[in-house]
Amino acid sequence: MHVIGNERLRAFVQRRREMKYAWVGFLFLLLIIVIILSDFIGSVRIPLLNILEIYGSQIPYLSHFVPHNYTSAQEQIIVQLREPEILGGLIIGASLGIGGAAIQSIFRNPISEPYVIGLSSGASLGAVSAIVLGLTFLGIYTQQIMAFVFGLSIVFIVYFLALKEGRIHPTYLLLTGVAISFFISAIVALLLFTNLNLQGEAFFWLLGSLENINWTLLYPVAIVVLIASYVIYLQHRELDAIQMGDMHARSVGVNVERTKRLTIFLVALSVSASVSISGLIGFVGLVMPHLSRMLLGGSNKYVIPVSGILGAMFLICADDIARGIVSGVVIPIGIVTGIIGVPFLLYFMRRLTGGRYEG
Amino acid sequence: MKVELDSVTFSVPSFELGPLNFSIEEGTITAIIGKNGSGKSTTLKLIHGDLRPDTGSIRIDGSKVSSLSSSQLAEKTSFVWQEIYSPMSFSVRDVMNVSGYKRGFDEDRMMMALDEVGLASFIDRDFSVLSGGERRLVTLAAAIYQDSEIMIMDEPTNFLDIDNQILVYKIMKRLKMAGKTLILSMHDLDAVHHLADFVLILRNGNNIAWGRTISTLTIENLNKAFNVSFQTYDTVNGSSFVGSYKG
Amino acid sequence: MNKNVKISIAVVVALAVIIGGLVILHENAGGRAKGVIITIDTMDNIPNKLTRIVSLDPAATATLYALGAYSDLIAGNSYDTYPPNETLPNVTDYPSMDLEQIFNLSADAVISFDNYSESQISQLLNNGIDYVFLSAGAGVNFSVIERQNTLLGELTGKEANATLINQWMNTSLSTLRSDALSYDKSMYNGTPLRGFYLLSSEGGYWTAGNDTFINSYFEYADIVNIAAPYDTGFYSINPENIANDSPQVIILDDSVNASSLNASGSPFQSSPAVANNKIYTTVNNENMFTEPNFRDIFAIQWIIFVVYGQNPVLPSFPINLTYNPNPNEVI
Ligand SMILES: Nc1ncnc2c1ncn2[C@@H]1O[C@H](COP(=O)(O)OP(=O)(O)OP(=O)(O)O)[C@@H](O)[C@H]1O
Ligand SMILES: [Mg+2]
Repeated sequence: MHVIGNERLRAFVQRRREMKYAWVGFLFLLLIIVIILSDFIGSVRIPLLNILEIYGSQIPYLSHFVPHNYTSAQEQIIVQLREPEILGGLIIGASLGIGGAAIQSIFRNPISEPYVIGLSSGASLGAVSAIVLGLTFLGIYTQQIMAFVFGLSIVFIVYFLALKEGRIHPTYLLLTGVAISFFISAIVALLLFTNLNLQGEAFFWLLGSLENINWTLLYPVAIVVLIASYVIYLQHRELDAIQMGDMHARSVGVNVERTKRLTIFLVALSVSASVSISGLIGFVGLVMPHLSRMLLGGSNKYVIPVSGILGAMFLICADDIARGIVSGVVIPIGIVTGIIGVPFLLYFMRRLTGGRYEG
Repeated sequence: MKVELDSVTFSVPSFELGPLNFSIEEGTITAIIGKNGSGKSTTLKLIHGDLRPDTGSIRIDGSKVSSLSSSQLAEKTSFVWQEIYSPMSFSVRDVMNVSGYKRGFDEDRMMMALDEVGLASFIDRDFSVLSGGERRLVTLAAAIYQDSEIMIMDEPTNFLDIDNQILVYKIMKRLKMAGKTLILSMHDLDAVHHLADFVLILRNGNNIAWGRTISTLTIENLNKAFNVSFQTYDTVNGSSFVGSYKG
Repeated sequence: MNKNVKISIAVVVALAVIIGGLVILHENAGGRAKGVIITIDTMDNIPNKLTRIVSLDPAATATLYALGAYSDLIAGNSYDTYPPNETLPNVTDYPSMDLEQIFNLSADAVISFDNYSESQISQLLNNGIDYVFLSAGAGVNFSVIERQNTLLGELTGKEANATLINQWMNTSLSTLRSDALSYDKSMYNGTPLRGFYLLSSEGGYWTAGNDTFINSYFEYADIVNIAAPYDTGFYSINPENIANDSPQVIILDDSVNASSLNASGSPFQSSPAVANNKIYTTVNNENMFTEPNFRDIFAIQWIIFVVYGQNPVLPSFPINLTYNPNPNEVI
């Protein structure tokens, strides 16, 4: 027993862990800064002091002590428009990042994302049918509810079709997801084809946007995403084991099928809820888990929260660009994430294939 | 803990295994030998419950393997795989942590297990870029850390140099002394001879021989199991088996 | 239950309560009464006249100007053309509206013809801004346009001017109709005269079907719209129907190249309209074909002019305007 008791080694190990916590803390701080700075971006210029006063007025008890030198229009712009949009970016970005990390672990495939289990095609089917068929039977948010319900249902269908003798084989699940997605996309195309007038509206949903998010929509989605993300995080040890192989995970005592079932359900729940209010936003779920693995290694204890933080930060910045880059036009955010995301991805792929992902 | 196999058969389209009938006593080392593709890994996976037998039953500690939950199974058995392959990236620490899933995190025991294979300083290295031998040792350390009563190992000395092979044999002996039951597949007959208490010899899925090493690892049985003809040579330490390359 | 699960439940419940509180706080923000949705069917049921209006609808901008309510407009859109030289801020934020600017201008109502997202509309309403929806699609004919005039008049306290404009429209329409019926159509050798309106040839042959204000133009000019039997509203017509019904007159939006109608494979190639060169491209009056409002009278006058070579005399516009509402005379 030569190295045990080596204080230098222990100190080194300890330092590594503290470094990781410091990273997570730093990224979290950066996220807060991005959130605050994004509140300054918009077509109407609002002075810093007024924004800070508006923040103060939103904090119970403190509100009596902050001066109210801002106009009610300024308050409306910050509280009703910018805050829900930015917090929407936070919630949706986080759910996509976390969902991506979990799905990549389950599939043991670093180039998969939450959409591969049929979620995106299901959500598009729901939203597009609500748009094209003019459905309003669930009130003014019929489109969002339909997107959510269909996204979730298609994942269930994919899951049950891929189930063989009570087990889910990753490759088979992936292929089933791809096949069902093709099928559903064909139905979506058919729906669009029958009503060319509404292609534009559906097109904007398919490209994604945070613009339509208000507090009423954000509230239920935030609750769903928070709960789902937390429970996904609680699975981080099981997911670590599964990413080393199903049989290995089972041999160390992980209930593989239950973990997969629970995680797929939670990811479907949280990402369906997110895309129901934002439309399809790509690349966040694919790229952010990579980035966090590069920063802090492959353990889901870090990958899950850091993917969430990075996803939120990325989406909020992408939305700032979507809103701010061309005046008078809001570019669909899916276009921005795609344009930024692809070079990102190519760069990381190059770095990653420099050894790490070689068997 | 006893492992009992009772008329176990298993078949896939190109391969039939069994029937296997034997029982493994607690605190012993059992080696499974045979040609490539003779069914060694398949037998180990059957014992571990990863594959379900077509007929017959496999019991660990009296209870059917198929009725054990993964959590109960992990308490009773651990498995050192022929290879952990995953395109995901993770560190040695992650591999160790995963093996501590059942018993809970214990930094001291974890470092001790890694230290036993001489890789304590590898704790934060990336597992996927380790050499084949290093990976073998890490997975062995992980199994030690998992600390189950029965340890199943598929070719645990693959990729290892002579020094490390001997280190692993020492570790196995220590584990046996500590009361663990070891079930291994091996290709090194010399090591089997020195290490194993019991041997199972397979050929094309058929059980050619099962029993105490001393009475089972005979030239006749080996000649049945392999296509080469074996001879004994006297060496300083006693007799050893050597394959004759005359075919 | 293990410790982690207990903690997580506590965290989630706490967050739910906090976020819920925030939402309730935000939903009641400003303490203003909620805005209402106003259409020609709900009519004017608001307590006060509108004085801070945002127009996302170029047809409504023109109507408000004619009514004498232009000073009540605080913002326009990027499609506004009449009255010219608009200096209002532009709050179009394609594909949506710029809510920040609308809030910042303290608007009391937004007028629109397009279907904006439900959540943007509910943002307006929640912040005490009324949403006036003036349809421009299927179902809009001259009687709907007149009701829209009346509605805008009531909303801005210019009911008297709205009545004057509607009376002028009615007189003009009957003049146009009776004149059109009386003209000599022998040069088209055959009644009824078949006409077609081509809005765009991008991704199909987009035209105006039944129940559109453009279909009314054809009716008043005594021309049969060949696109009317197949569908209502603006739609993309099957080219076989164009070829089969072979129009004698084609009105072309200025975005479409007239020579493309004669190209091989074009469904118009064999039509009398192409053979006789009876293709008329909208010029500076193209907005009359996209904006349903009082100025559409001049569009009918123009059609009659180009198709029959006649120029029916209309009553003079009852309200004195700095900028002539007749786009045909601006040339
Ligand atoms: N899932 C499967 N489907 C089809 N054939 C299989 C399957 N699993 C194993 N086999 C076949 O069963 C036979 C035994 O395989 P097994 O892995 O048990 O051999 P082994 O004795 O461990 O060989 P090695 O020494 O090469 O590791 C082989 O011929 C293999 O091809
Ligand atoms: Mg094998």
